[in-house]
Amino acid sequence: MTQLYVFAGSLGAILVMTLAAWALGLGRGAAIASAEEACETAQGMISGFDAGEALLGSDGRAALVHGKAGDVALLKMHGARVAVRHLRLPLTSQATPDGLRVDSGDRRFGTVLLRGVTGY
Amino acid sequence: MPVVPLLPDPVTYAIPGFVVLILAEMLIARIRDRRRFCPRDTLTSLALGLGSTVAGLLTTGLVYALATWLYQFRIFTIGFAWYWFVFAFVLDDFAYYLFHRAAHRVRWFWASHVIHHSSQHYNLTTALRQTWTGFVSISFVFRLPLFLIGFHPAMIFFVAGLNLIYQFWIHTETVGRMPRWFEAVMNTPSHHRVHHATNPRYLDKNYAGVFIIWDRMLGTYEPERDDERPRYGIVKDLGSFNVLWAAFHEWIGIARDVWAAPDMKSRIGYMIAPPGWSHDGSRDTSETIKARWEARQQQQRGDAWKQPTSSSSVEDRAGAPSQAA
Repeated sequence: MTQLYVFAGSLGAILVMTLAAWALGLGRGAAIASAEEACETAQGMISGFDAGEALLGSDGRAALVHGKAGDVALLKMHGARVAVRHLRLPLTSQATPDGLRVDSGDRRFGTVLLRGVTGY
Repeated sequence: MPVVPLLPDPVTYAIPGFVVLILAEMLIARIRDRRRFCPRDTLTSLALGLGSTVAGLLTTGLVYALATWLYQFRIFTIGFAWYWFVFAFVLDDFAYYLFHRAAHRVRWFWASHVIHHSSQHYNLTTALRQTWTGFVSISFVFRLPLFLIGFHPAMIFFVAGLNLIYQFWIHTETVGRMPRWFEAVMNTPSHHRVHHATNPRYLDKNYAGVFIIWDRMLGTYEPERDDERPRYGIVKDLGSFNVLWAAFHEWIGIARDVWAAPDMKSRIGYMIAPPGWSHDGSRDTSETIKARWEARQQQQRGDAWKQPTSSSSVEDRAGAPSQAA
């Protein structure tokens, strides 16, 4: 019975803490600030990656960084942090009215929208 | 057989304290840097923490029964005097160091432990992001010698709870560095930030639970540098807040690799070799990442050497580690 109370209390506490994080506006508005930042992030996160030109979505929520070895780093905001996938050309992508949708090849990472970008 | 006192589960009593400290850290993050938290990440971490508690309830009894069975073969009979608690705490922390080192170097253990490293944030909720599959990975084997020495299971479970509570507060960016004497002996937020970082310099370092001396003694210590901010998470970040995926993704990875492996040696390798190992060498382990990074560092130093002396000297100084506070 005690364990049940602990479980119920923990569940309540989880909701309180998550709501508190949301109410305090934590993690909100995080974005990739510039193409240079996208390059630096890609180089930092992918071992051996040499960044070349970067395409940054107009909302700063995603970026595509071309590597000097013909590879590509696909960046997306994941909460308040950047997550990345290392891809090879050619990419599986689709031009949409919102921008370029790039398939990461990873179902859980998902498709990434480069808002305002028309091609790579 | 010593008289066994009724020892509480200290972690249960610590939960209200955890909640208060997390809320306080959130308020500080609101003022200093809102990116230290993300509500979805917080929810994922806490849900994983709750799942871990449930998994623990289901399996702790089995581990306790095994410990009690082993205890009958003990070498000594150690009582419950206060100083034995101190001994038990220190030895249990060393057992934790060994477990933790194995948890990063053996994929079978890593599959269970990776859940704790899967957040790209580093805050007090990360501390609660604990494994669901510790029993499956048999991570409890590292504590079994303590029962054979003669520490009663009740005592070891009690001090292990204290160890877990200690490790809660070191999961934060709010605390910079502690006084030098404290940093020398104890695991601290600074030391543990290094442990959670994926920067090549920091990979597979600082395995300590409570006492950082184990890392210093066994060659796995790396200080945090002011000129190299840690990047948290795992080498291939999940990019997903799915709780089940966070809990089981590495186990699924093992199953897929073992299924597709060309021979028995490779199958075993996919289970017990370091994370990232592959039979054809096509993936990165922490060794290959570090080696690539070091080669690049050397190349950059070589390039700097070719520059005029004054500029290379400036670069070298800029890269030097700063003094801890």
